Amino acid sequence: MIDLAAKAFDALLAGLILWLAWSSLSTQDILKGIVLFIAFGLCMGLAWVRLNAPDIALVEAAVASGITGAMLLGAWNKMRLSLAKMRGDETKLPEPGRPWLHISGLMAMGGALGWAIFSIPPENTGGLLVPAMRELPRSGVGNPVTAALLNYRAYDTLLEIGVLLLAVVGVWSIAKSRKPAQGVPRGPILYGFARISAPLLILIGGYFLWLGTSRAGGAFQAGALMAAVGVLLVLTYGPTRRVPAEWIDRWGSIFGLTVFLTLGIGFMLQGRAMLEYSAGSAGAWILVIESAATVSIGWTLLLLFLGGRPQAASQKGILVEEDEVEGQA
Amino acid sequence: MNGIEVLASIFIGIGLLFFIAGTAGLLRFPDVYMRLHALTKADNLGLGFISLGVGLQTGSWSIGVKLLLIWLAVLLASSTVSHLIARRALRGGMSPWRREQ
Amino acid sequence: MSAFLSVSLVVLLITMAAGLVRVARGPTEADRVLASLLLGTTGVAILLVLSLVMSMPAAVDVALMFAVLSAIIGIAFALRGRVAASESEKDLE
Repeated sequence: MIDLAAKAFDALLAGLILWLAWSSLSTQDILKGIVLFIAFGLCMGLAWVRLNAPDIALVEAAVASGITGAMLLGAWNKMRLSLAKMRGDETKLPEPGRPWLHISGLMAMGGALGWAIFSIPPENTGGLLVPAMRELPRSGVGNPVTAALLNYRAYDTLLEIGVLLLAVVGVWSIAKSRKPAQGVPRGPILYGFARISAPLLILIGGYFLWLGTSRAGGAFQAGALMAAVGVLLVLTYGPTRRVPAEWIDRWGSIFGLTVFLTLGIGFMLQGRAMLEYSAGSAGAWILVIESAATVSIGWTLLLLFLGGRPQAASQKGILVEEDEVEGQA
Repeated sequence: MNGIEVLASIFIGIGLLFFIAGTAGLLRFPDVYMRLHALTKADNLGLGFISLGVGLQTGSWSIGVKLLLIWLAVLLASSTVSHLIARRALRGGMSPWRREQ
Repeated sequence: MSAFLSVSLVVLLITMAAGLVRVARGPTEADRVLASLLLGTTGVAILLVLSLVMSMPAAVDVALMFAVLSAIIGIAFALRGRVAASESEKDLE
């Protein structure tokens, strides 16, 4: 009975994920697509838990579903106006042309991927699990995923944080974010909720950062929660920004990468390889790097949500009413 | 099955009933305002019962406190979000459903 | 006990799927926003029972993350599109 129920659950979940993915892509209504995409992300989180991967489930829920969903909504906000000007209907997508071209291209890619996967010799799968678990006591952390991310393959994590920074650079080159405006909270209930939950979210982020050393958690999850605090505050108050705060944006986003690189090069100057921790100190260094990375990941994700380089207020350092800004323009 | 397990199963069962009721309301009610009623009240109460059952079953105080925190957070979030949704719908001009006489 | 838990998992997933069908079909925009509420509660419930069935305490942490993020997403959805038209046009360069 247990086995049957487990199989039924997994089959239903897999079918639900596929149906959500199909519905999200095939609909003409963009908002429906965004909502179903977020639902798809959260169901994928459930699937990851089923597959015994809670770390990935956490990142899926936080980054791939939560922050990306907020970003998609921000993009939808901006799109409504340009689409409305172009075609007079602000929420529909254009009809796709030449579907046979897309389908045959996708089938070719899928076939190539399948051939690549099935041509891997069987004895290569699962090969690194044994050495990874064997070295775990020496790696400074108790969670094998964190050990892999920040000790065995720390170089990858360094480059991932660099990729986030590159994304911010790209977004800042393309667009500007909304002008700072008077920071009046939108309604008393939202204001009360933000007052209670903003400090609570920071605390939960710290909890996940600390948890990463022994259980599922880590810098990416904690960073996503920090970004969520920023998203919540922006949604509650609107984009209030004073001009001198732009340096916080720049420093916040490079902080993690800077710490990471400094430590790596510092180790090299001491005669070891890059990012090779000395025996016994790995745990401490990993915590330092993760803390810095949390700040940066949170700040870069928040900057991506804000969607562009910051604009100055009309008068330097003073918050202006939205009506005043429009009147001058 | 000892006493704790039976009690936990009863709580989880009651929670399931509330979840089924909530989804039934979601599917059958003719108006978004009523669907909000079903979702927030029934589902949150169901979640409370399930948290109670799971907490009893694990028997660990730390997990129990965490479960309580999760339930309170979901309660807080659901009430805020449902208020915002309803306010947005009302200001958007959606009038509540009335039974035609 | 485990059999009962596994069956309740299936029941919860069915309720979630049924709710998502309503979200996909719901005629108005407000219906779609209900997805965040639905996933926030039902998803958390599924994860809590999963933590028992799979003996994975980390699933409770995942449930915490679900709850928090569905709140943020719900608020983002409920407050969508509140930007003044002329202000946004200038931001598109």
